[in-house]
Amino acid sequence: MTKILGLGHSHIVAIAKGCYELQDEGFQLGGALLVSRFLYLYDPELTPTLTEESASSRLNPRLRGIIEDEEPDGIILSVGGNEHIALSVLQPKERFDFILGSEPELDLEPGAVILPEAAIRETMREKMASTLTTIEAIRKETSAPIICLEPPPPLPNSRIMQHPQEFFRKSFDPRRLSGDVFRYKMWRTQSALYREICMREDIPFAAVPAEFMAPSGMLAEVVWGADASHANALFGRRMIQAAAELIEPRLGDGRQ
Amino acid sequence: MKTHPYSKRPDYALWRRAVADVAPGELDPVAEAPFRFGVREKIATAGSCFAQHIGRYLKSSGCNYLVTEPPHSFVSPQAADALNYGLYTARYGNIYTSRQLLQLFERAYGRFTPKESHWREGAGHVIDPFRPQIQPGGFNTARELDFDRERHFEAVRKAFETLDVFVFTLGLTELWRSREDGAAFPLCPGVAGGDYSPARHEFVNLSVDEIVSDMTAFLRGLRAVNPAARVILTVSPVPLVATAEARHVLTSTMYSKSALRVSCDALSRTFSQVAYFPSYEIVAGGYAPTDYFASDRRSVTPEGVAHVMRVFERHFIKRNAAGEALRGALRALGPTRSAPAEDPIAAAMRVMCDEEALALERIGPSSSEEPSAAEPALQNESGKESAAHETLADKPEREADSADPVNERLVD
Repeated sequence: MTKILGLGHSHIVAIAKGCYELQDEGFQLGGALLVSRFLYLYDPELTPTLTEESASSRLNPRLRGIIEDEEPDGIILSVGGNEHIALSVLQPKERFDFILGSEPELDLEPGAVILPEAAIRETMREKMASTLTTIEAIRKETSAPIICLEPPPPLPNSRIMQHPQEFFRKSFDPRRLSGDVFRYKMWRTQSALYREICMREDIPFAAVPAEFMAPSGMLAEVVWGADASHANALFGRRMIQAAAELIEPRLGDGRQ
Repeated sequence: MKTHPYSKRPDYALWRRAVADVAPGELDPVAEAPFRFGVREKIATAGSCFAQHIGRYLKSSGCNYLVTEPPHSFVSPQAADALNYGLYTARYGNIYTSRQLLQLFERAYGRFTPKESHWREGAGHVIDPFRPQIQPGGFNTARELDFDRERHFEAVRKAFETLDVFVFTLGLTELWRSREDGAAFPLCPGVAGGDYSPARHEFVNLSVDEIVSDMTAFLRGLRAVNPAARVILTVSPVPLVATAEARHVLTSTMYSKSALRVSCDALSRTFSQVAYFPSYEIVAGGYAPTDYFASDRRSVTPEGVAHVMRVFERHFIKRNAAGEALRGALRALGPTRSAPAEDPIAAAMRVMCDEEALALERIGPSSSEEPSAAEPALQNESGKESAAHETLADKPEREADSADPVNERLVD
């Protein structure tokens, strides 16, 4: 058996669903049957995820204990991942946009203030501090290979309008909704920060497959979840397969 | 008893009374400031790195510190700091020389456009030659820099046109400029971007005449757009970090500071709206009883900065009961007290995740076993006991519970 431990927040649910489907079909990883266990990091018994010890952040002792006891052959992370949408679903009074350095040809919203990408990135970095620190802390706790999964891209406005209660406590002005292209850029910026920390921590990064990206940059409808920010089991299944390809060459020989 | 021009000089004119006999921390080389400003008057700052101390003090002391290029409301405070918003009145970074200040003014009003408008540092990395360290990683494209520059110049014009008092700290005389059009760079090309080329760049060490000429042009320009503007000039006590002259860095430092000091004297005698404030004398004059340099002999100690600002406040800020009350109120409303208790994005994240987490209990591989009895039970968020460190694999699939709570969402 090849034992995988999945850790994460809300997106881990679709990943787990997909993983279980694969397990039911006898999916093998490294020549052995895949078994998995997934933990939700907002589980009250596992929070706070990080504790301060000797002026540095460490994982919750209970979580550390689980990782130690499980002795997983590999760890799959889907930590955080909604920061981009939380930051971008509504535009402030003074609408803004930015040039995405990796795709500078993308449209800019007419009339919006154009901010430097660095301002977006550094703000996002601050809002993702807990997510990024958690990834670092997990890396410190285990020598098992770790794969970080890219969160799904945003869903289009039409979907958000179907599920406004997911984002808004009360009624909102739909004119303040951000544009799809803007949200795509925000997601890309978020992914760049994941990639940055993954490179630093020697964690392979499993990107969202191209077939799940609509031409607009939104999440393809075929993998939409039940709401306007999450993906479904098909997405999870494919991400597990992508993770398996990355993790296989790193598997140790001590598997049961 | 005979009288002569020195017999009735005030205390400040006599070394023994003004320097030798004063208590530590009480050296005050200002005789009488030509003007004072009130707490409602808008103060702008610019200059070499020592000017940052002045700006910080003015902000924290409840003065009306003018910021015409604030960060957009989206930008977090930490990111704003990283991108040098609020460091000065506008996001121009350090302005070390008189030439740079004049050039900024001319560029903001469209009278000068340097040929060397940006430096490419590989893919997705463009540096502003005139603000090479204004933000981490520079700009992602020349187009992004153009957008930012346009907004910046708008803020610079607004600053010059609306300020009441402009405090400018002169720092250096040495600079590097373009041979093609004379554009002055704050840092030598190649140091923080760009490539140094002797064919395209040349070294200049400004003379007193050149400094006075630059500053005169600037002051006339400022008066044209803001006739009531008053200017306080000061010389940074911070020595040169390096010299490009073929001589000792200390010798070059002494030249630079002397030339700047002489220029300030000439300017304050010529222009009635210009005052000189002796930061240099207090810190680097060598006459204060306390050594105000840190061990690197460049950094000014907090005590030195405090001494400078104490003297500045004593002579340049109008004091009256109403003004003090207003300053006290402004201090109390300062940014250090406005930090929210909880970050709304973190709250939104948690709420979004909570909703999805309800599904964790409903799924699992169809072949999964029941939870091991050896596993301790944990409480989920609704208070119901759920099995074992909630491994999704351990949970049997079950129908959605129509009574599941609906989490309130937020992003707004």
